Amino acid sequence: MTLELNKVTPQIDHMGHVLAGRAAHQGKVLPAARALLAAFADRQAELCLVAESEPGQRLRCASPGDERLDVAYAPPALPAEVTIVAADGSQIYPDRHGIAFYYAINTGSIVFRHGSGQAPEVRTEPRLCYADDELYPGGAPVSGDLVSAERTLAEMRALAQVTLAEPPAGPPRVALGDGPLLIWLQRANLPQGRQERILADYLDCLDRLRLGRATVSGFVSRPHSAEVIALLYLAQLKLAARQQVKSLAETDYRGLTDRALFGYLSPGERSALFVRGTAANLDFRDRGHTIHFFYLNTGSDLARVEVPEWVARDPDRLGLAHAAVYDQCRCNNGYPYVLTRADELAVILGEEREALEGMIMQAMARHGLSLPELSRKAQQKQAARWRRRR
Amino acid sequence: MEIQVGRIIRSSTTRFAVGCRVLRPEVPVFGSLVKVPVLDDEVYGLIYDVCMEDDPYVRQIAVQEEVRAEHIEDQRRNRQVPIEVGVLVVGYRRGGTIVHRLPPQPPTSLDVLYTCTGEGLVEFTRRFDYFRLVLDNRDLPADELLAANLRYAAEARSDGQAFLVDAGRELARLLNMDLVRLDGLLRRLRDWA
Repeated sequence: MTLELNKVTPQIDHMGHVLAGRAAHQGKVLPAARALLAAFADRQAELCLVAESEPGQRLRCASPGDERLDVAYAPPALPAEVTIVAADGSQIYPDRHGIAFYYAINTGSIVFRHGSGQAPEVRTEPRLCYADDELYPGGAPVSGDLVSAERTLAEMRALAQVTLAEPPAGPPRVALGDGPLLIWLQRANLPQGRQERILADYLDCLDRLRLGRATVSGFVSRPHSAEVIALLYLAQLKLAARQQVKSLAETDYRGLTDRALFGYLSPGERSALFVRGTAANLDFRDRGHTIHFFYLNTGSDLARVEVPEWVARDPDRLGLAHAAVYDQCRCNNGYPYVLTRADELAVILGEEREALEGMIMQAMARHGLSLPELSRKAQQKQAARWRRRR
Repeated sequence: MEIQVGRIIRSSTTRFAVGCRVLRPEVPVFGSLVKVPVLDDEVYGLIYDVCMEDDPYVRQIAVQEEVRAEHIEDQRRNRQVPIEVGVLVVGYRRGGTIVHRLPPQPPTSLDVLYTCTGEGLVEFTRRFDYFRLVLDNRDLPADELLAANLRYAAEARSDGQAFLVDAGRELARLLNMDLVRLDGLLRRLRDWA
């Protein structure tokens, strides 16, 4: 054993102490935060000004929608028949110590026909990336961040393609993605041109889904964000005091999450709608897809559900998203059944990767290359770790 | 009529495993005779096991208060596949002749397994030399397997009762040193007859 647990024992004990203190602190400030939610429940215009102000942007404050903020909204009845589509992806990241420099993205999707009694349709779409422009975008080796962004795009493409393949005249269609709908691409190591292309393709998918009159949502399990908390905290301060707040972490509300704030929701209920406060939402707004969200008690957890503005502003489609997501969670331990299955379809297991790389090695040998091998570093690590893996 | 049961996923000279998608009323059936075309030959076997594996997810669904039809169909048709069928090799056909011995070569991956009923079943069970290939497998429910197979073979004949009497005689010869086992097997046949 190289992690000597006896050496970390005092740290573990201290960690428990710190976590208990943090929970106690949050328990103390939470009633105040909820009181603020009630106090500002119908002052949307005022809150919008706070969110749009410079401190509001700095703290990535959410903006309120039109609904009263402290009301819990019960789920509407789900239509007898609804088609729920989900997609998820996984990847093999590029590894310069591996047998070859490549990466792979596998997308899994499921069409679940609620009320039909039929087996869902499932499919996977694997893609192996080895071409020069895929591996060296802009001249530099592809990064893990770029592969993650490409995977997110592949998920959205699959979601749009599979959803729109369902007949528009049939049962209403709900497309459910795993994670936020709002993608965050502004990372330093993504080539600018690639960023723009990924974002444009992603927004194209949303365009097509809007045109096809599908209901789209993204499901964020155990969210850690505090966009509503930040909004309420700033709103209670005088204008001058707001300018002094650099981060929520330096306030009494540090560590407090929106999830805790909306902990009063009963199973099936959702919070009011809000607008995501991150700068990336501007790109979405420009194309008419401003991302809204609500919190949902899934029955055993509190999740954030994101929807584009054309769903948020349509009461029927908003209700459909609410009812469908809750119904999916209700019979699956608080997490959507379709997302569980899409993940299962997409995930690339260790033994599958080994089988894939075995085939790649054979292909390389068939084409006259000497048998590829791991880098010396990877070989030595494998050799040294062998005993611990037994 | 031959029905496709599934495809070989694992094989050896004595046994093989077959993967199939769903259970249908007629296949796969415990004790039924099946065959796999292998090049110019056919390898014969008896289905001794049909296995559906569990996993933590299906266990979780099984104890939920409400299990939807779509979830059940998803588990059965998409997740719990393949259903694994175990087959015990009991002979082969070469050059038109059926031999109740182990074949020179086993079937290979993805070869197709078919049911063997009617005339094919009658032809294979005209002789009883394959009994020993079944009875020697003490890690299987060999007696139950053979009894089931003999019942199907009797059903395929107009003189099923006489066939079972002959089969009983052969069993008495093979198991004359193990009368308790013989008694158990004959009771299984008699119960049916």
